[in-house]
Amino acid sequence: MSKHLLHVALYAVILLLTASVIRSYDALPYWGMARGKLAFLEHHLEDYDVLFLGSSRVHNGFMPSVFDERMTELGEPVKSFCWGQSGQRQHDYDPIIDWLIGQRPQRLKYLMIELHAWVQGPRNNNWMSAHEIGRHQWQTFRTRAVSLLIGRDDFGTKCEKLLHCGAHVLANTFRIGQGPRILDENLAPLDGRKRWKRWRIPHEGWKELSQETARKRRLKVHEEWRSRPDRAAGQLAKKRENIAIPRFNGGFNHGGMERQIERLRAAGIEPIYVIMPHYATNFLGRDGALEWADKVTILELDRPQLAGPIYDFSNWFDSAHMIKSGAQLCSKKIAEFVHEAGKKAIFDSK
Amino acid sequence: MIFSEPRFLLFFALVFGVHWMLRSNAPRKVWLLAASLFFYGSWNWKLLALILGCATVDYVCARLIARARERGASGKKWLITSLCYDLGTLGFFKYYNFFADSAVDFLQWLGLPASEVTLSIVLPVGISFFTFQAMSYTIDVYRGKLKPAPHFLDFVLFVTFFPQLVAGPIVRASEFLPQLQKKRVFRDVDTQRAFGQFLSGFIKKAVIADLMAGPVEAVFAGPAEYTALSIAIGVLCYAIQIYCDFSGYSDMAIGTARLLGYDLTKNFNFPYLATSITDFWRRWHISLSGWLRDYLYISLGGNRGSRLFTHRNLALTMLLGGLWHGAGWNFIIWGAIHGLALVVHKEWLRYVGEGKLPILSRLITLYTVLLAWIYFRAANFGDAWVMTKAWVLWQSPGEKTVELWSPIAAWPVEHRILLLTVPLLVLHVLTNWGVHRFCRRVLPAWLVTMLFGVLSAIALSFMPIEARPFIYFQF
Repeated sequence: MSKHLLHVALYAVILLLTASVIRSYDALPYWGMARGKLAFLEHHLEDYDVLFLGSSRVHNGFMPSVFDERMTELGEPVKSFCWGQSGQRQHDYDPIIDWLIGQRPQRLKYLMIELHAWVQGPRNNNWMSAHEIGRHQWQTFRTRAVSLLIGRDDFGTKCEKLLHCGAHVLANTFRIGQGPRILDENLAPLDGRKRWKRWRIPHEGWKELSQETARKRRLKVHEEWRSRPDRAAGQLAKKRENIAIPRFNGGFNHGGMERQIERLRAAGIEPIYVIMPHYATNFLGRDGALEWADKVTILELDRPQLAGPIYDFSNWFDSAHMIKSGAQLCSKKIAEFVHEAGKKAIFDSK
Repeated sequence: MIFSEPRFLLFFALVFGVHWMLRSNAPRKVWLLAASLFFYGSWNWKLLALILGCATVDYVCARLIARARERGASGKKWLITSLCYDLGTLGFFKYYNFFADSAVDFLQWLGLPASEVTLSIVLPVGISFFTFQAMSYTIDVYRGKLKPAPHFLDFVLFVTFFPQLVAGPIVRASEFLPQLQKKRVFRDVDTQRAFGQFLSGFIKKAVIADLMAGPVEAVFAGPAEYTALSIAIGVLCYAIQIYCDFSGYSDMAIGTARLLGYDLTKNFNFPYLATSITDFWRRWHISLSGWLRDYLYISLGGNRGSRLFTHRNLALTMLLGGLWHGAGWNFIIWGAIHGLALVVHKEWLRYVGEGKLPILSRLITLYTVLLAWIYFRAANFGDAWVMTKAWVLWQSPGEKTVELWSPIAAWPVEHRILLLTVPLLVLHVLTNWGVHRFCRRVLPAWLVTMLFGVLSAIALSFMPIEARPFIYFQF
């Protein structure tokens, strides 16, 4: 029996070692642009004073050139980079922040972070998409588990979500399903493509969202949303009256928030949280975020009364994403907020 | 729950641990039966009644046959009862809609009024396998080749034994029931060999077959858009996919059973290296072809008659073999192609002789088998016909080329197919020569274990994230 156990142990060790060799060769997160932007910043981090980490709302809604111009006009010249990535949420920032701190940036002053309400759920209710699986790392598992356990989901749902998170962490540890991609990325030069580490990141990371640039699925959402301006107007009216706050099943993870802020401040980087505008729904974690309003700068653009003309229907591609004109207005507004705020939160406490 | 899923590994770890912790045979059998029922129930608990009903009827009928034989009677009515129950169950769940649809179509074609009679019937997983397995038992008892199972528990475990329950191999009672009486000791189990077989099956299914699924699905979804070369590549990829999928499942089943101390029938023996179509059927799905030979072909009269009589029996056996795979005309055509090929091979033997022109014979065999796969996989007869013309006459119905392995998008299709098939073919030939057995003999055990660890990590890395179900589950 002991001989068998030795073989099992040897097998497990070699399996883990081989997986870790693959991991060390392919260490960065592997969903879409997240890799490209990380690889870009590896070489250009010292070019920037401000980075804005967030989801696709940031990726399409924050124009660094406009932000920089407005900051210069306000007497505080900076150079910023849009670090938005489709689907990126609060839990995904931790390994990226770890990586950022590990780079010991000298020039970086502010890290703007799009504040999400620590919601832990799959996009489009699909736990098995490559993107969903790719987000789960050992470093984020603890924070994810805490967010799940303090949430209001029933016990069965909590168990199901935890199981998925655990399984995805294992999938990422063993790099399940990543062989063809790793091979592809390394064979890219053979057919004239650039290695992913040399991908060009245009417009300081911002991507214009339009009918020409949007993917098919998003274009469908766009057409459906734009065809119903009356419904959008109704949504906005409700938002103005603040009567459409949806139930928040997740728990606002104060511990996770505290650790994020502490780590960044210890590295000499001031975090600024930004609640990005959304046309149809209200920010889920208002109650939780309120508790942080006097400890860290939180800019809230989710309230039409604070965000001003950004909420004009013509500036939006769909209920969550802006077109170029919206991105320009939004970037200007953020610059003004950042300039005014200092360390004070600009937050609607109603 | 399929073998390549993580939850199966958890399930099996528990079954394996408890099985070997139990000291005697009887509680182990009870444990294995409980595990098997849980395994089957994980698909649909309600269908447990079906499999238990089948086991009960066949067990009772076999005992009644044995009792009748003791009294000097044949027990034929009990055999008929058993066969009617098994075939009735199979017929209702698997073929009712097919025959009802076909009858309605036929009546409408004749211009007679006919309304839809299709029912919403769930196809129970593995029904073709466990009914055939149970039928072989009563037939063997009737033929006097086998004594009835001593205990009901043994028989139910034979029918429901989870490693082979849902996609074979179709185990004969004469091979399995005696194993249930043997005392089992863990040190007698060659765990490394068993795990190696499971791992090779896992790689075949979860890596090779699932990676092949992409190009196969692309070509078979709309063959009219593709060039003849792309269609040929699609067919070749499907041949690899179905072989790796099915033989991979069988390897995992055999490996799993071995880890529990049971031996299952070998189900594949390098079929694509067959020297003739007859040889192919001695190497492909061996447990089914053996079943069809022993219980259908021989029952029809086998080769105990004129040439024409033998040819008829061969063709009929293969037609029914095709129908066994699924309720559809495509499977019947697939069976008919194989039946015709077997008849042609009989004539080839008559005019050319055994073992003559071996290379040509192998190529013709492979070409025919791949042609038949078109009908096995195509979505409809129109698509199959388009693909047949491309395969036989090299007519390109469209311009599109297949993306065999999307990551290497810019590679010419011919190169990409070489990238995958050449190493696979080399591996296939090498293992046919027994290289893996040689390695296990020469290399120390610890090195083999380490090699398994490396292979597992690489297999996990190359396995597509979204696993596909086993192809043979639908049968």
